[in-house]
Amino acid sequence: MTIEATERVSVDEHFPTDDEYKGLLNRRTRRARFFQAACLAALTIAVLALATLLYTIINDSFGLVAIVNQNDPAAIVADLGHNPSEVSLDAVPYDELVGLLEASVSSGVGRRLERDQRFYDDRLVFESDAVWTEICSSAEPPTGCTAGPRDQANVFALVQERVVMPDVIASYELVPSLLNPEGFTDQVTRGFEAGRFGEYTLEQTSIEWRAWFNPTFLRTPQNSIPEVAGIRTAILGSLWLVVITLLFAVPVGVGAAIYLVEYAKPTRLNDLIQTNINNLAGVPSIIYGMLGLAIFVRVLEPWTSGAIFTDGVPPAENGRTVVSAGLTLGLLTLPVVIISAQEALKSVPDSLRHAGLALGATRWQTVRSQILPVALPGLLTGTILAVARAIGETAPLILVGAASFITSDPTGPFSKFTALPIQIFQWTSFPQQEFHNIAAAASIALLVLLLTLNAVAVILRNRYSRRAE
Amino acid sequence: MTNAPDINLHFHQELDALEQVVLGVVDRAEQMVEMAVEAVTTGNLELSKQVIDLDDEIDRTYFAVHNDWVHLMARFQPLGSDLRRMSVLLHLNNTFERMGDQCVNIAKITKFNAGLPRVERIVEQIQEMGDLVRPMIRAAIEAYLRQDIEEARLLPAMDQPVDRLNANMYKEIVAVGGDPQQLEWATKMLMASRALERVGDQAVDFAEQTVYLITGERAEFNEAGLDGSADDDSS
Amino acid sequence: MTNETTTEEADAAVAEEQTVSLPDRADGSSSQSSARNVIETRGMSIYYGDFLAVADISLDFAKNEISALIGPSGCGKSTVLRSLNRMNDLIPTARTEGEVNYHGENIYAEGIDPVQVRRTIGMVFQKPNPFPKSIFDNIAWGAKINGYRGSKSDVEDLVREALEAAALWDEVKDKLRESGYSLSGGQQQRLCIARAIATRPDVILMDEPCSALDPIATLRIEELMLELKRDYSIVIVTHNMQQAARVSDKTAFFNVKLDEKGMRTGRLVEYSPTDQLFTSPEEKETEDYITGRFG
Repeated sequence: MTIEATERVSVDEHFPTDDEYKGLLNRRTRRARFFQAACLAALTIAVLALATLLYTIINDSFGLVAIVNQNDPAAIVADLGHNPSEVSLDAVPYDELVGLLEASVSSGVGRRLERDQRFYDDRLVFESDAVWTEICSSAEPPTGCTAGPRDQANVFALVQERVVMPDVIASYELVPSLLNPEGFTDQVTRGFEAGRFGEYTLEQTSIEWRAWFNPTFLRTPQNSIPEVAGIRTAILGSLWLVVITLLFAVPVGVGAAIYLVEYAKPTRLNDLIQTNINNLAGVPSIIYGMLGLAIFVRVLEPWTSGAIFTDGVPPAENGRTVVSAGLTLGLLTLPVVIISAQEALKSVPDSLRHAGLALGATRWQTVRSQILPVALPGLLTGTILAVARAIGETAPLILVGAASFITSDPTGPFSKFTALPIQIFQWTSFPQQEFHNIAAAASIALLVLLLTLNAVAVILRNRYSRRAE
Repeated sequence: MTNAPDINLHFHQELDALEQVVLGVVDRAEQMVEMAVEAVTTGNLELSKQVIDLDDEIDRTYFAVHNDWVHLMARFQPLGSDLRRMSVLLHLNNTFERMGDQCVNIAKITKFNAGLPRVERIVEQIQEMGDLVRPMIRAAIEAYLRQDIEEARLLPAMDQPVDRLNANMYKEIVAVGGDPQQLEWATKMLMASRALERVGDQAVDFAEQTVYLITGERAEFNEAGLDGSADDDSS
Repeated sequence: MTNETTTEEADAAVAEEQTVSLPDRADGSSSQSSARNVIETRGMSIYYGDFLAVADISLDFAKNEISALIGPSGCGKSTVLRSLNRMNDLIPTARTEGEVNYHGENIYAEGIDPVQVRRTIGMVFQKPNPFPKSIFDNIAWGAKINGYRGSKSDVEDLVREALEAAALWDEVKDKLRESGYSLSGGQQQRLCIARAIATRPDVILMDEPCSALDPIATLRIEELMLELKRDYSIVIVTHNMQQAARVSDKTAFFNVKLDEKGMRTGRLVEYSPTDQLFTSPEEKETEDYITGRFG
């Protein structure tokens, strides 16, 4: 459809004639469409990249496995006197599981297990009382002296590891498992013919569907064999880190932002501070790790190990505790929190400040009653996003001393800890395929955690902005 | 006298146009005085009819000006000297309409006096009054156009001889004596004299308005209170 | 004329002498205004950094009167208004010289807390800016932060009185808990006025309070101002001359002057009773401005 120009009152030769205009319009439209398509292409690339990421993770987390249990769990249950079709091994009473361990492991291994974490609060299983008291009062007592006792899941994991001893000899990815399950069976059979699986036989092997990411995975602590290992300690560690980071970064960050926006005069000093805060947001996280190591772990060791709060045995033997890591991550997120809080505060129109001050209110009264409630959605969103970012940081945690192998849950701020990114990093560095599977499963957990935090941020923001309307 | 651009140009242009109309009518009124005096002193009925026709025109103009004035006021809500000028023009509109009415009064006397014998002395006096009043109207117009306070302040003095002549008119009538027809003629001419005296007052009023326009203050020009003046104001 | 005057008559005569001979307005508003000025500025000059925004302003604002500040844009009238309650302090580069005396005391003296100044000299802004709270809280907040001690019903009375004084009570009495933003523009501005009144100020400053409103809302607020005059003193900045003519008792005309360095500084040209300023102003500059023969 063309619109014909009606008689114009005056004609300016600088403007195109009707025909010229049509030609120009066509060219402009084509160019506009081209750029639109280019932007769509960019979007498509981004979406594809994300889809690939998800695909890879999910692919590795589910699939067919060929598994050999060195000792059949059903047989074990029967031996203990239960009906295997009614009771599974993990539901067997705690004491029986402990007894099973006693019977199966060497005393040396048993004592080591007990020193890592006791089985009972009130009695010792492998160690003698005298020796126990002696080692617990030594200069560097083992973790079992202070950590709480193991629980059902923990001991079941041990039983799995030491008694059942499942061994995944081959695994298949999700998509091939769905599309071509027979191909896996063929592969295993051929493997046995080629003698690749040592002394195992095809009859011992069962081919079953395995979800590496399953509820047990979330409840089970770390273990040295991938079939048994879980991310319980890592999740708890990450959650502790979130809490400590929030407790540190939010008050300090929001407070600093309030000062910079509401109180600070535009002097050179304040400009300098602002510039440096902006720069600090871009500093590589490993630098923060080094900072954390030097200050929180070493210099502030009496505080971060909890020694200063108790006389006698300090809760932790050194400063490599979850509070050090939390503070380090707090420092890491602090610039980002300050900047996003500043943005939230600046987005509140000045007219509200003027209105408050004109009534004879002090700055703080105005900020607290009028500005903060309006800025709250922005503050919350910015904060939660900043913390979500911190959850995924690996390098600083390594430096500050996240343990790569720890089975006891963190019980307080002065506990040893590990975190999800650390776990994933560690597992991917092992060559076995099974470790890659559980690394993928742990990645799913990390993504879910991140998405949950983001969803909380969005929900809170929507709720508060609706209320402000 | 500022060479800054006039950002109220359209209003000022319309106000100037309205002023031109009003002044034009005042000018016409001066001519009507001449015609009316001529008519009444020579008994020229034809001329007196012309005067009456001219007054009809003046009345129509009066309504038109009033209408335009109200519209200007509604549209522009003027302030300051513009506001004063508006108020003066409204007043002037009234004034010239009354001048016209006075001329008609004089002209009508021509009809009433048709066929009656004239008294020369009275004729002369009426003519003299006419010759005094017309320059007053001119002077008032000039003072307004030139925004000249000094010139405006001359008007009361110019009015004094007119008032005196009017006051003396009754003596002339008494001096007419016995002839009833002449007496009738003379008595009617008294009305003409009064009408001319009123026109003189209106010219002085015009000058008062001019002073208000220039200074923003109301100054009552003292009618040099002539003792025994038989006429009060307000017509 | 007898020789013996009673004491009352003598007092009345003395009071007559002392009252300022400002003409009463046609609406018959209170003629009990005493000669006491509520705010006086003496040689006030305001700088933004090195830029001299307004120079040497000396104005008296009388009690229970409405004073209007008019002038072309950039003449500094808003700057002057904001300096009367030290809202200019919020601009970091602003500096005020000279005196602003509130009931005789210079509010710019050392040791004077601007917070205290703003409690008794309130302000209403050009664009209505109610708080994002309920209508009730909008009004109660100002009183509370200033230390209002009262029971719940005392606060309710306070809110009601303020809304009645602002001619808004009937329209909002059933929805006090709704957000201030649910009101129309004109209602919001009246809410802001009610909010300013609730702290029982002495003076209300209004910075072009009607320029964001439609004509009906504007007229309602002008009516309101004439009512409020009984209890408060009002200073209003307006760029609408007819509005200044309608509501104010005295009008101050400001103009921008270029100095030899090319800096544009606002100066006070004339400060006269409104009736006089708009019919026969003293200064030619004023006359040129109000008739539009002005660049």
